[in-house]
Amino acid sequence: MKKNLQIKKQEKMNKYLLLNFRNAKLFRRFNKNNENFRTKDYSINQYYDTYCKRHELPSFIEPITVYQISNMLHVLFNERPIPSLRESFYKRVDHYFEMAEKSLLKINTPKINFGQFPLETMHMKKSVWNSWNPNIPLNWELVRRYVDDEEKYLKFISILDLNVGINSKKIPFYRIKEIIATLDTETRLKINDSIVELKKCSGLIYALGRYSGNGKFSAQDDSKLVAKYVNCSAKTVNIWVEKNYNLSGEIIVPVSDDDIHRLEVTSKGFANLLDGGFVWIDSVKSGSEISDEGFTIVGSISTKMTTPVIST
Amino acid sequence: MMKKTILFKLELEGRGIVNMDSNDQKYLASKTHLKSGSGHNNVSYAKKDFYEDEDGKLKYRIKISRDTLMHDMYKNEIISQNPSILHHDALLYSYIGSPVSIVRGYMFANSNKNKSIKRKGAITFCDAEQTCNAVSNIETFSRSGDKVENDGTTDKKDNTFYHKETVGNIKYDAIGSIDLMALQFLTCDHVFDRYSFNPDHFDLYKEFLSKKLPNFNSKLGYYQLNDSSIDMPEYGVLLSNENILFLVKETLKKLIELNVRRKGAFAKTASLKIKLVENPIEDKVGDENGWITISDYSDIESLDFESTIFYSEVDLEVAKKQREVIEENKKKALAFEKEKNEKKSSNKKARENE
Repeated sequence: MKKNLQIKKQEKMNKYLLLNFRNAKLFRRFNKNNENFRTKDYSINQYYDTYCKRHELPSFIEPITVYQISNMLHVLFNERPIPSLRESFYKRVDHYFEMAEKSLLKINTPKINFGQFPLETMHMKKSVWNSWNPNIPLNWELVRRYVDDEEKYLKFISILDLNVGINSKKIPFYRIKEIIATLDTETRLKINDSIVELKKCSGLIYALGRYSGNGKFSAQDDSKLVAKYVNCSAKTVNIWVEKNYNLSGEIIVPVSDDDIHRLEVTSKGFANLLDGGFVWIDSVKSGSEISDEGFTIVGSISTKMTTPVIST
Repeated sequence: MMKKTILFKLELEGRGIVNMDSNDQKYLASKTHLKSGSGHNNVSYAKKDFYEDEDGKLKYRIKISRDTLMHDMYKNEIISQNPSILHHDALLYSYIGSPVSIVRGYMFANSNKNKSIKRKGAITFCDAEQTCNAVSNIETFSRSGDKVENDGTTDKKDNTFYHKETVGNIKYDAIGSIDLMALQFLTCDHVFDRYSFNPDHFDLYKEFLSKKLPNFNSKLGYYQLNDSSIDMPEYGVLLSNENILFLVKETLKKLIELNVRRKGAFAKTASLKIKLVENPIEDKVGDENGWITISDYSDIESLDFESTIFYSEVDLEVAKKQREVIEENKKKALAFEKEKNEKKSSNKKARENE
C-alpha cells in the first residue's frame, strides 16, 4: 500500500516528475551555535572582480533548501541558475521557484555519524596565497623567475661575480649563499646596496642575509623568493584535506503538461545539485502511482543561515 | 535528430582498494563488521557509501570517488599543473585551449583583479559503487623504520605496525553524462560570472584551439541561450558540431582506457555503454533500451551525431544596446562599493585618532 501523506486526494491525478540525485557534496562547517568555522578559502565574484573569505559569507543550515532545488530546476528547464548569496543582474523565474516550494525531498543518506551525515575526506589543492612550503628547491632558475627581468638578472649575477670573485653561475645558488655568509661585512654590505639599486628585488637581500646593524647580518631567509605573495616564482600549491558530506536522495516535482513539453523540447535531462551532485530524471508518474513516505515539502525546509565570521 | 546529452554507464573491475578515506571513519566502521581496526588510530579505511537496512543495521559499499576517476582519466595529460602558469600567457592559453580543459573545466584563482578564470566542466560523474558481494577486511601490515637509538644497552627502531582495509576481486559501476551544451560554448563573460578566458587574448587562445581541435574556425561574439527567459546575450565562442564530436570521442577514449592504479590494487574499465539523449523524458538512465556498447576505439571512431544548437548569434549592435543597462548598473554598484569602503576606512582612522 503506497502512502501519500502530502499529496492530497485531488492532486492524485496530477503529474509528478521523479528525480534522483547522487554525490551532492556539501562543503561547510559551523559550530553548534551556527557560527561559521574560520577557513582560508576564498569566494570569488567575477562580476564585481572581488573576492572575500568564505567564512564571511553565511550558508544555509539545512543541507538542501528551496534555493538549491529552484536552481536545479532552472538548469533542468534550460534556464540560468540564480546565485543565492551573491548579487545577479537577472531574476529567478517565479514559476520554477514555486515549483521548487511545492516539491518533495528525501535524503537517503542516513544520519549515522552522531546524528549527522557521514563525513568524507578528500584531497584539495590550496590556493597559492594560502600555501606555505618551507622546503624550497633553491636554484638559479628560481632566482631568474623571481627577478622576472633578464637585464636585472644578468646585473645580479655580475654583482655576485664582482664581489665573490668567481663565476657564480657555474656553482649552485645555495653554494653562493654559503660563500656570501663567510664574506666580511663590508663586501656583504656592498652586495646588499647593489641589489637595492636593482629595485623590487628585496627577496634576494633576505635570501643572502639582511644587515641588522652592529656589523651583524640576520639569518638567510629564502621564503621571500617564493609563495607568500603571488609572483612569478610561486610554487606548486600544497595539497590539503577537506571534509564534506556526500548526499544522495530523491525529489518529487509537481509538473504540468506544459512543463513536460518544455522538458522534452529544451531540457538536457540532467542537472547538478550542491557541488557536483548528479540529478537525473527517473520518470513522470501520476500522484496515485507514487509514495511520498519519508519525503519533506521543500517549501517547509528552514532557510535559516549561519552567522558569518567578521574578519578584523 | 539532434542530441542534447550523452549519458554513460561505466562498469569497472579490479582487485584491492584504490581509494582511501581518512581515519575519521573509525566510528562508523566500528558499527559494522570492521570492528577490529576501531581500537587503533593507525588505520586506512576504504571510501564507502553507508546504508541502513530494514533492521537499522549499518551496511556499506566500497566506492571510488568521482575525483579519483577524473584524476585518473587525465593523469597523462596534466602532468604538473601549477598556478604559476597564470603568469605566462602562452603556457596558460595552451592549457586552457586544450581538449582536457574544455571537457574537464578549470579554475585559476588569483588575488589580482581580472585575472581569475574558471570554466565548469562538461562531464559529470557519480562515484563508482561496489556491485558485487566482496567483503572487505582489516589487515595488519608492518613498515621498517630507522634505527633511533643503539647505545649498547637499548636498541630502539622506528618500525611501525599499521592496519589497512583490504578486499579481493571487486566490481563497481558508475553513471554520468557529457553535457553537450557546456561543451558547445566557451564563455568569457564576467556578467554571467563565467569568465573562462580573457577575450583580449583571443588570438592566442584561437591559435592553440586551432592546433588542438579539427578545423576550428569559430569567432568571438555575442550568443543568446535559446529558449531562455533572460534576454541577454553572452560573450564567447561557439564550437562547431565537428569540434563537439571530436571532444566527445576524446572523452570516451579516456573512459574506456580508465585504469586506476595504486600499490597492490587496481580498477579498470570492464564495459562502457552510452546513450545519446534526444528526449530526456524517454531516454532515461534507468531505461535499459537505447544503450550503445563501446568495446574499442573503432566503436568510438564510428560514432556520429548532430548536437542540438543551444546558442544563437546576436548582432553586435543589438547586443551592446542590451548590455548597456547592465554596464551602467555595474558602474553604479562599484561606485557605491568604493564609497562604502572609503567611509569604513575613514571611520576606522577616526576611531584610531580618538
